[in-house]
Amino acid sequence: MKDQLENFYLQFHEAEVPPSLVQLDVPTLEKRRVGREISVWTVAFVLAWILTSAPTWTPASVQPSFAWSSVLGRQLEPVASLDAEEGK
Amino acid sequence: MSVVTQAVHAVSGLFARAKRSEEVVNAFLQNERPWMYRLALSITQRSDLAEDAVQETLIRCWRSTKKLTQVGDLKAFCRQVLVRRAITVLKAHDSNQLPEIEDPKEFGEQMSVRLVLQTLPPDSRAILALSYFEGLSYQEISETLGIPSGTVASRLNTARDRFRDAWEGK
Repeated sequence: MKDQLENFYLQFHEAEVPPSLVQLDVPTLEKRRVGREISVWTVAFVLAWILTSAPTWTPASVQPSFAWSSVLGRQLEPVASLDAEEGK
Repeated sequence: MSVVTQAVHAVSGLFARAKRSEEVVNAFLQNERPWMYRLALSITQRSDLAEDAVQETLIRCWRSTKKLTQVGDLKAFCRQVLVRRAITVLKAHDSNQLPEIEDPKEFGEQMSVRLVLQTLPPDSRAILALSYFEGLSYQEISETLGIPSGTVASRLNTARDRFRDAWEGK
């Protein structure tokens, strides 16, 4: 049995290494891997943040605080006046 | 020489040393690929799994460059990572789906041994490969697998017994 195992493992000493493995550029591969890990973690973090904070959102909290009127150069109509025009 | 110039020299010296260390490790990893691949192949007996194990090992060794100071450490570390990775990929691609072999000796000897080995658990295959392919001592196998030498002896005996039982078709 010992001889059989020893003979069997002998064949691997001459095994040819695949060219794809020989040509592999480890530093580049590692950089790509790091980039992919960062992307996965970022997506996971954003998803976790949305899932944990979404139930607490209200219409007021998701309204943008940015003053669009300053960009457009005019006073925007308040939402209430639009409702009044429609007779609500 | 001002304090600032001294600090700049010290920092640039550190960067240069780190760069040299990276070059040494990169060259080592380049030269050792055939050995790594053959060891992984002797455990997994599948070229795709062996390639996967080596690729993962190369990345892990590269990331650990800063922790290792000597090439001797690096080889032992790479072997440790490689064997563990090979066992993991073997477990993931469970080879229990192989057909039952009634009489392994009906095939050629090499193929028969291969088929019998494929019926053994990944840990047994790894310990047999470390002993028969790599020719490692109990102490070296113990360091590679992270288990005591006494456990290596008993696991090796168990692996041999399992192989013998499967070989004799018990």
